[in-house]
Amino acid sequence: MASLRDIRTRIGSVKSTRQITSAMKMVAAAKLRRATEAATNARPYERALTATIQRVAAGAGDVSHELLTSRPTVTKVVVVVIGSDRGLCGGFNSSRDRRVEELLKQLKAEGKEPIVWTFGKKARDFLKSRGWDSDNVNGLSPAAFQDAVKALSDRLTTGFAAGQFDEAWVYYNKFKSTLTQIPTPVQVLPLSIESAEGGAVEYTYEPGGAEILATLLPLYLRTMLLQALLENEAGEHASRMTAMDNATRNATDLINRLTLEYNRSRQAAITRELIEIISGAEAL
Amino acid sequence: MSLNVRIVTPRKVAWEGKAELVRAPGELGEFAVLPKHIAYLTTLRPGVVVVESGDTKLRYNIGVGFCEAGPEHVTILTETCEEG
Repeated sequence: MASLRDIRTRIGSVKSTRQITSAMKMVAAAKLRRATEAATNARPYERALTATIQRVAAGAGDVSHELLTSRPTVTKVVVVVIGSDRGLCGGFNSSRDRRVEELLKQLKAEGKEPIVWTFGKKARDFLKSRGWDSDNVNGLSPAAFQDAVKALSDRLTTGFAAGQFDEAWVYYNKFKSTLTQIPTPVQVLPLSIESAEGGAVEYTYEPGGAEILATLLPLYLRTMLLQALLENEAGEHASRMTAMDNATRNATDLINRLTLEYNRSRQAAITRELIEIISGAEAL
Repeated sequence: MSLNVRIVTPRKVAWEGKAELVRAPGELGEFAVLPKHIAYLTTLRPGVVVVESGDTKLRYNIGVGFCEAGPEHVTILTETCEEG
């Protein structure tokens, strides 16, 4: 049985771990509020934009644009993985990364060549350990999302136009609720736009339809990417908060158990000493 | 009869409500939307959007974006929008 001193040290160390996890939980909760707010506030814009584009697509049967045209043969595929820089957030990164790896393997099996771009250290490190090298962006803060989105969409559109790749996917964690984030793949190039339900609207365009489309489609791409980053950010904090909440609770349980054990062995030691003294006295 | 007007930015819904007239700076010049307008889609230049309902006139400074209008609604999507 562990000595009293051992148990005492153990309790001390679990206590300080609990302090760390509960502090991380608080920080994640505060950041989560801000991040969910940003993600939910951005949604109406994305919805309205998507709805408009879908109506345009339904109205004009002959919509054609470079970014909408799928290539007859697909050889190179860009997979953009959006993850987090830091761990300690439960299965947030690993559940997505496992699926990303499956996707990459599947692409390879189909004879395509995957090109991987990652956001966040965790995704890069995991993929690297599995032998996938990636172009990586680290340390992205929410304040820099707009610029990052611009850079990424420029890189995607120019690379696509120049024929460096034929398809692009984004893999990120969709923020469904604080408890559930769903790893989601979205095809971003060529853009797939479903036609709106409920009939077409014949728009009068000003300037022409083609010009409007040339503005709308890159905007749509940027909005999708931004939404992915925002939801991923919210998901990371939510996941960390849940994980740290669990860890804090486990630490409390462990402390209770250890304290009980400590008290028991202390009592046992006292009893033993008493018996020794009494039997010593009786022997005299 | 009035228009359902929404001015939306990536950060928030800047304004939402009913109005009788909306003026906006289109790519090819300023235009106004009244109820029963045809379905209309245009890109917007940075400028001033005016929303009139009854006696009140609201003015917003907007960035680039676009405007979708129909018989009963006007949706303005823009990068930035400040009350002005």
